[in-house]
Amino acid sequence: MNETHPNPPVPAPENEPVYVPRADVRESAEGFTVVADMPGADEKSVEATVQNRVLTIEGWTKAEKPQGHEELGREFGAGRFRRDFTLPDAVDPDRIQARVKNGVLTVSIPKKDEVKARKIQVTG
Amino acid sequence: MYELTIGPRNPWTVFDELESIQADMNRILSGAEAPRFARRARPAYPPLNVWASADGLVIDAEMPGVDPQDVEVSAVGDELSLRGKVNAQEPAEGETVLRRERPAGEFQRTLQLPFRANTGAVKATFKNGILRISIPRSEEEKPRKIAIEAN
Repeated sequence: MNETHPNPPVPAPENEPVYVPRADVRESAEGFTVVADMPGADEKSVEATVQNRVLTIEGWTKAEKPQGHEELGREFGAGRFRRDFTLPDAVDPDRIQARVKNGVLTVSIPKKDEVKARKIQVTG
Repeated sequence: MYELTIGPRNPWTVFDELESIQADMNRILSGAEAPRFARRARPAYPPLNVWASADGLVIDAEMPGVDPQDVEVSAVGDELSLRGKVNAQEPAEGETVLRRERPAGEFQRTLQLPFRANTGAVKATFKNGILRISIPRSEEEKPRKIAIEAN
């Protein structure tokens, strides 16, 4: 699966930064799995869309500053995650599934039945 | 204007420890300017955000995909330790890894706190891949108002 260069991101609200989430991609006989880190995002703020063979994953997080505190240091930020993946021809876009858990988005992309490897019975 | 961060945000390192936060805390306590995190080539895992109030600190640790049961938070005196494992599971049989960017393995990070913690009152909650730890100062170290007795 190829990764397309990220499109110019849609302007995020309030000039939030846009991050490219770190992702793992695995392939099995059944299909592909994309796993992307979106810390702070939940099922309400994550979207996965497929259009013209491009899978786009997006998510939003908000900085949750504790009340009455002063910031001492910051090593990670909040904002928008966005990344595109170009899907191979051989997948079935209608059966893609996505779920979010512990700030990680997992997208399952099944292969079309006709391209799945099949064992051919050899008869004598 | 927005900032576009390309590539992995937090390249994985295993034993990369306590530097800038410590320095920044010391600087804040000595009354110098506000801390500014240097962009280091190899940031420690997990990345942390730190806030302070008169009562103590709140620390957020970014650890998506970590099972809360795999994390151990311990506070001893003026030291806070985080250790655990992340994404330690192997790919399933018959799976090929095409791309691997997410951190995987064991981690440990230790912070020197700018005060002794009330260790019994340290709390940690985990939500959407972010661990929030609140660390109150020990009672002895809280500023006290001294009443002046009239003679």
